[in-house]
Amino acid sequence: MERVKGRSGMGAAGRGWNQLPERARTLIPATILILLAVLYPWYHENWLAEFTNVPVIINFPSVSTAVIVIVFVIMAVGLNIVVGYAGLLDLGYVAFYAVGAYTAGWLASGHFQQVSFHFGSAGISRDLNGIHVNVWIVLLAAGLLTALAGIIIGLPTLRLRGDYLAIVTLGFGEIVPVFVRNGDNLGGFNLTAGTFGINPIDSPGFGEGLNGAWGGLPVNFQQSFIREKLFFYAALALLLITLFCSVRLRESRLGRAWIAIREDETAAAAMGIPLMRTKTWAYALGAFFGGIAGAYYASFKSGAFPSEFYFNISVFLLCMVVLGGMGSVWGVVTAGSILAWLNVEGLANIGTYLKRQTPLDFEVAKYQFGIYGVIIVLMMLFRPTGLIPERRRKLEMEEGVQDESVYGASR
Amino acid sequence: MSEQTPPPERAAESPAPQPETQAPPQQQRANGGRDGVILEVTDIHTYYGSIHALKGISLQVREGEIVTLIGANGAGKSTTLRSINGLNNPRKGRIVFQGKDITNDPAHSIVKMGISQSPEGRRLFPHMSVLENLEMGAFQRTDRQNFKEDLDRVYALFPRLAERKTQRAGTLSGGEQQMVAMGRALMARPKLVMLDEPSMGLAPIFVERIFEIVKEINQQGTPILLVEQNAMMALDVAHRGYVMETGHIALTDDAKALAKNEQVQKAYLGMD
Amino acid sequence: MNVFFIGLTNGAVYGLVALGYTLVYGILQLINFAHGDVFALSGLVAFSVLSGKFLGITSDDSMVIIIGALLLCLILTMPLFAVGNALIELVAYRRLRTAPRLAPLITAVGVSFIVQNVGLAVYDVEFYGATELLPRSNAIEIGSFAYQWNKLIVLLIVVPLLVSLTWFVRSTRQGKAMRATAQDKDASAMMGINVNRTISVTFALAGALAAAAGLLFLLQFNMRYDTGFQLGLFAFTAAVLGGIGNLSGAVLGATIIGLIEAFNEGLRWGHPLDGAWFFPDVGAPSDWTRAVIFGILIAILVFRPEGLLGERTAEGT
Repeated sequence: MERVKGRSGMGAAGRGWNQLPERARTLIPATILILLAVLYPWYHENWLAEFTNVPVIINFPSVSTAVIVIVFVIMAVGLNIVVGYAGLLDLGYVAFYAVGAYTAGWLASGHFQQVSFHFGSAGISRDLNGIHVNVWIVLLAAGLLTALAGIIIGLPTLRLRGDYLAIVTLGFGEIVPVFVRNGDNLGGFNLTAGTFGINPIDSPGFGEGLNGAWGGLPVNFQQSFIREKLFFYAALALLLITLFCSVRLRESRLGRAWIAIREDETAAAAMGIPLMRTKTWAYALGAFFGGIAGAYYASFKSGAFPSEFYFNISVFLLCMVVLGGMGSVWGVVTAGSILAWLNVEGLANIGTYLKRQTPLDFEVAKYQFGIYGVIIVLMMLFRPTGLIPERRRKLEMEEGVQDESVYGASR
Repeated sequence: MSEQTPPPERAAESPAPQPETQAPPQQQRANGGRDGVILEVTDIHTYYGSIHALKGISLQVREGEIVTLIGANGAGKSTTLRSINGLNNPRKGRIVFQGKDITNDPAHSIVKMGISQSPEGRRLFPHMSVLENLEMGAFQRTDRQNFKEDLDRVYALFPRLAERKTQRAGTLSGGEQQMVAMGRALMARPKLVMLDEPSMGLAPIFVERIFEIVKEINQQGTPILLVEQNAMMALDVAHRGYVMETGHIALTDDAKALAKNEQVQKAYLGMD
Repeated sequence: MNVFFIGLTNGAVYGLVALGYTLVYGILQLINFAHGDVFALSGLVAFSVLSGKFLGITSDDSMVIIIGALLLCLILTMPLFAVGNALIELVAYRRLRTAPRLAPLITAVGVSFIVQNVGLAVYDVEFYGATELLPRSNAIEIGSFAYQWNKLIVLLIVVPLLVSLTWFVRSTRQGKAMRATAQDKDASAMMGINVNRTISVTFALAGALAAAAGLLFLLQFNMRYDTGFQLGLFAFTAAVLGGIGNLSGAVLGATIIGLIEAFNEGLRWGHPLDGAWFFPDVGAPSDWTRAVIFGILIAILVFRPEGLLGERTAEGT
């Protein structure tokens, strides 16, 4: 982590910085970043926003855009566990996103009209039919269910070699949306509401009880006047938890086992690392965060729609990981924020700008995935370690992991 | 090619022998053909990624010679061969074959020039038959009429291969595979053969046979660069030898003299 | 019976694409994700060649002219996409030959999107097709057995292509170099094979086959810039089903996939006559074709990764 700043150390200031204990060098920038993030909605409410009329991008993203950005960053950090830490290429991460979103749809909406089940739901009338579980619990449930899905997908497939794994995950990433789209008539049972999707989905909140107890905790985010801010802070909290887990995981025994597998599977097995179990953990934990993010996003938009879950999302997330640097948490957060913002409004803004300011008539947003493709290829060719490389990964990429020859080992 | 190879530095223009390298007794200048020198390697440095595998290797092979390269595992013997055959071009130094600089030539054109190799671990094409493997050895040749002649020569050297010519190479025994690998190298009608660990993993009886064949190939007129861990056998058949240690040439001498050298005996021949 | 021929025809198109996957995988152990998109782009280019501005062929022209135009189109697009595919390898994959395996795989995903967006930029989101070009009249008719012209043309083009491909790989010098390179690159180089050129040739072959498939697909269905993604996955499934790296396996696998697709869509699940005893009533089967085919892909990879005709090796490929 010290390399975030440590390497770029400029002159005397840099030297002073390098003398700080490692813990401080991590904590200081992290604290500054968190503070900036916490203050972000405040920026939008004030005169500051008027003066930051940035060329090309016009304005910093709105708070509601920021929520979407954070959700995607959480997913990218989750995918980074699978791709970056363990070196398993997952091209179907969107499946986990879908499972998370639909779990929220099942457990916190009026979708199952045939039953009426309420469990700690906040701000939802008791008279409404359907399953209404408290959304905080739903998030956890979605994470766990998605992790379970990850294990189910992983157990049979993780024995396969890397590239086969990629295609199998891609297959799952395709099956899940097909299932979701057509799951409105499974032998007469409506599980997924087909192309209509499930909505509305309940929103998180603290209910009447806590509202009274702590004087001010919102009953229900969706019904609040400061809805976006509430969703933003909750998302930020989720992101921080995810980041904390992700960093701790990397430094853990399990994290070292992942890296060992990534660098040399055979050697790792010879050292007594249980390959299957270790890889399955990577898969399950990566899926866990994808599920939470999916459920939270569904709750934010108050709906889960099948049209959102397509292959391009998986590649979009992969692009974040590649651009940031596989395995590098901070890199993925940076790249994820930039790309997610570009996706939501940045590219459209740039397109408008180009149209207005230049004779170019080029719809940037239309070619967004082409642009991601170019980013992926350029990064892999010229900077495979990403913008902010993880130190260990850097060594691997530069030296190659195999006995090097002109043509590569083909055995 | 993950790293950019810098332009070749003409080491021959400023010959700076490594201090720990004992210069070969012969002259230093690269002059193909003169004094019968067919291959002249001068102070090459080769890398695996960022690992500096060869730190200034110089050696020579002359017409009609068997030259052996001995040394412990990881000393850089195979890397030396890979530098010569173009699979791992050196970053520094010079390799001259028959008076022509081949330092940075690609592998396939080096084969065409007349250096063929039986690689370590045999590396046959497992899904091809014995005959097809031998045909692959003659891939670069255009003189189809001599093909049959060379095939007969290989079958004469290894009668076992004639019996097994339709069998798939992957199903042969280790000794037979080694014969195919050597036969395949000869099918290129090479001007220099490099044999990498031909005795590795073979039963003792096969080992003896392989070394007899090495001698026989040489007596038919082909110079041989022989890499071996079995130093005793290698020094027995070779004319001259080089002893490698972690990327350097530690010693070089007449094979007979090396076999008697105390250091060599201690380190590689297991004698006290 | 008709369902059977629809399956066979689709299978033939999948086969050409599957061969591209299998050739490249065989030589580089790389799943070339971009291959499906190269196929789709070639189909769109074929449309440009056949349609108004260039050849201006319509279904009113005589059969001879139409077939001549189709052949001319192949003569143009096959070399074009051969070169294009070889260039993709040169630019995007060659530098990564010694990188960790993940790197070229990820790059291939990126290239896939780039090629797709080239199609998007030139052809926009419209669908194109030349399904009316060939008459749907029966070319062969024996009793209830009927085979239409627009299906027959597929076999008329695919079969000679397969024969020449087999001849090329089995009997030519370059073909032998390909087989050797697929087995062991270093050893091939030691035999004097120009490994880089051999890999380029392989990509060129794959590109040419994809271009042929693109034209044939265009004659059967409408397509647009992103058609290649799903079709590519089906073709890849076919290649894996047959045993990836194995040429006849790819063709066999493609035929099976084509038949499965045709039968799945031809059947009415949940219909009392067509197997309600087995399939639950889950809506129209065509909605599930993708899931069925990917299910097959996953099942093969899990239970028999070497495929139908592949060989079991230590690596499991």
